[in-house]
Amino acid sequence: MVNVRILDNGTLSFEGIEPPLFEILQHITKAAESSDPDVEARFYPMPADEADEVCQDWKAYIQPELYAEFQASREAVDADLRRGKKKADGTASFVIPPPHMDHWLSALNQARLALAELHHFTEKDMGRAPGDPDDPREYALIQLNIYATMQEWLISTLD
Amino acid sequence: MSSIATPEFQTKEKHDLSPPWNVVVHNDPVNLMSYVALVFRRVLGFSRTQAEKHMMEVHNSGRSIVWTGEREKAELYVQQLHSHLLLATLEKAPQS
Repeated sequence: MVNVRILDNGTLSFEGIEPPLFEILQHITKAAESSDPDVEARFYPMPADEADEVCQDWKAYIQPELYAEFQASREAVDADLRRGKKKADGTASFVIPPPHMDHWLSALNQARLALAELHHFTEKDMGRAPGDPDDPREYALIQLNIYATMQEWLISTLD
Repeated sequence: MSSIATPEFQTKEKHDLSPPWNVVVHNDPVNLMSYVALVFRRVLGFSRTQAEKHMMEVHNSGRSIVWTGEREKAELYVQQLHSHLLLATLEKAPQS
């Protein structure tokens, strides 16, 4: 069972993470990084009708900024997980320092949105229990659910 | 001898940019309701009650107008909402 503690300085400490769960967490950044056109369209939507001149400026100036923001969040999450430790019993632990909380929220959201686009998950899919984890689509649904649980937990902590 | 082409200038009518502009947030099935409400509070300065009201409107009606005002500020809000991966657009508000 995962033991979560909020330390005095606001750092979140996660301990006793079983290997399959830690592996899923380590896949957050990989899941969020996709050059699939549907994912790109979801990450970088136009702010108005394509005919509006703001769209050209958006592509030139705003999208590169958003790209850098999203990448920075993925890198922060990756760094926190790489600093994680594995115990002799196989369980893992890691911490999220307060300045990284928003990066985690962003990276988890990126991963969920990318997985949903890539696997064409519907609202109905997201409301059902995942099936065989050996099926890539079902494994993606497991990832999606775990990332949602973690996101909900972080939001309640930030509140 | 080639003639010098007369440059064409397009002048944007002032009223095209004049207020009011709506910032509209659209529903998507992936973003968590709690996350959308949190973003509304952070970006738009909504109270918890306001944030939840607009979040429910997005969820139930597919969209919610979350802010109305001048174009430049509306663009900034849309950018901030996009940075939180919410689907947001600008729309010219109907003139009353």
